[in-house]
Amino acid sequence: MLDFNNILSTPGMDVQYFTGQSTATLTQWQTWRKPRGVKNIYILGVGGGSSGAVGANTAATNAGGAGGGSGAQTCVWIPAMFVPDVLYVQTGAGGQQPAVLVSAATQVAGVPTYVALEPFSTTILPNMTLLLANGGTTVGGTLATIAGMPLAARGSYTFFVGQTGTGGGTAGSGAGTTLTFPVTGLMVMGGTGGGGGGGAGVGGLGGSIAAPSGSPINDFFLPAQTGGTSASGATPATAGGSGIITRNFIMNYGGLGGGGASDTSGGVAGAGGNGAPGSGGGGSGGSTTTAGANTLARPGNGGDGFVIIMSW
Amino acid sequence: MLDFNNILATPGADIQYFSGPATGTVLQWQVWKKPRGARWIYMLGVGGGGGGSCGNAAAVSTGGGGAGGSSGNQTTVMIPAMFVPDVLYIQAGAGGAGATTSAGFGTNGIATYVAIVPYTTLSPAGTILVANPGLTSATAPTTSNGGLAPTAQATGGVAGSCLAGRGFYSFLVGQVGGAGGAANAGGPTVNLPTTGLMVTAGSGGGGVGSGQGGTIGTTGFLGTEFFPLLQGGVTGGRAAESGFIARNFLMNYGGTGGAGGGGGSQGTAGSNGAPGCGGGGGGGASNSFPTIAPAGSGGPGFVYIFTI
Repeated sequence: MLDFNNILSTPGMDVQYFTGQSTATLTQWQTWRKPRGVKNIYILGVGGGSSGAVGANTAATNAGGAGGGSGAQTCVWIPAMFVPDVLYVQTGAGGQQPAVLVSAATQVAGVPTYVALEPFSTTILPNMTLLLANGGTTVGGTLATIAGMPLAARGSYTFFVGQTGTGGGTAGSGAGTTLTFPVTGLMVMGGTGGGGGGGAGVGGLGGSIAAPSGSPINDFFLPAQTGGTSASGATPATAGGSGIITRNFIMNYGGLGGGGASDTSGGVAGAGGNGAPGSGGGGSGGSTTTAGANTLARPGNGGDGFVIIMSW
Repeated sequence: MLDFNNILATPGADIQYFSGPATGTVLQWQVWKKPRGARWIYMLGVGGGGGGSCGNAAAVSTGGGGAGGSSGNQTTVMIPAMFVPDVLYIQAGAGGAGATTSAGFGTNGIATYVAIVPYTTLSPAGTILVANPGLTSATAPTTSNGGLAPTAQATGGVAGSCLAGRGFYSFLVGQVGGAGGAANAGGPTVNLPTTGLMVTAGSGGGGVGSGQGGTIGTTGFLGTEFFPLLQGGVTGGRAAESGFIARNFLMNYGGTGGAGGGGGSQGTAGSNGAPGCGGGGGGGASNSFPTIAPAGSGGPGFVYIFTI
């Protein structure tokens, strides 16, 4: 393999980042080529986050949609001698609700992330797989096991299950549930639920993301993130904020839930925020059957899965 | 970050060692700066060792020896430098003080942390490495029995050091300190740990009469150059040998236990542990020589950070 095009790679370390364009399992592969002279390879992969769920609008008062689950996270370190010159990378896309929303639709799952020796297209072949990180579903991405990626056993590996998004607010003006900052080793998080809708004059608040315990707020950790505000009278609810990546990849934040609708025309529900890469989307606020306030709000998209391959 | 002062750094690897002055948890931080061009970072941390406990100054000549302190837990983390900020904060926990009063307990060691912020309230989300400390005995020697060994200290796990999840890690429980000897009995031998630990516990003190302090080491272990036997105190003779760092950092030895008093001799002191190790227990005291011998202190926790 010639590497004439790697003129500008980092001295002593090749770092490549792949992000999620694979909208279906085993159909869209990207290619990684082993840089000349490398001795070690480190791979970190996260599955796509799931979208938030849709708030309902089929009764006078309705619950908000739940937040999406984050993808699972997997790390592998392996001597380069056990790795072919070319690897195939599928970085799973985050889940997205369809263009036409359906009341109370559950989360759309994120696509799993794979790193494999061959671009298999019909059947998942564990014996050809070096890394697997499952996508988020109605819960956090399922924990991978070495049985699903036995080639990693030539090296060292770690697995983390994804974080489940929080529930939507109860019908009326219930607030979406607050998400606890993950403390399992994950670098991604779930989304929060939308507020409940159809309350008398006011809906529920979108769910918040709590600040991590003990850490002063700084560049690495955000203060507590509040979800969308609820509708009040004819004033519509606001959307939940989208997740960001904090410095040094300390944490990819999930999307926040949208505020719930009021029972007054014009007081429509808020959308959920999109998740940062690998994180869950926020749920949308619940609505009502009241004309002018019964439009379904769009939940946030799950963040795309990603893979970082470092070789040296 | 400028690195003008690293002129003499080892070519190809930056190795920094931090030892434990932190006498309180999350209060006294040291600073590490990421060397320019770093690609990978390896950290090894050990919590402060537990202090030894004192023997019993019995009203009759049957006092038991004090137990040794436990070693700190050991944690390693290997992580890509891109996930590590330019500055880290290190608390290397102090070792626990040895007891000084009859049947008194030592002090627990202090935990060791590496964090991205110098927090004053413990924050697992901001922590890359945690190594919990060694404990001291919680059951004092009586007028006839030696002090019981301390309990094991649980590891912090990745839940206590969330940022390690970007890389690879190992968590090892510290070695439990040796029990004190009963009257006329020696402290039991503390065998070298075979769990992967690089630190040992302290051994217990001997009981009054003819009890010798516990030995640390494994008889018949190949390579005595690397793994010698460390002898405890002998009544009327040798003092307890202090812990030390064996060649190539293969093993840090804990303090050995003191001897029990008797035959016209006073009980002797336990010795101090090497970094991260437990202190030795004090020997039991005779009623004809009731002065209690102090126990050894635990060694301070430490952190190595290698950067390539």
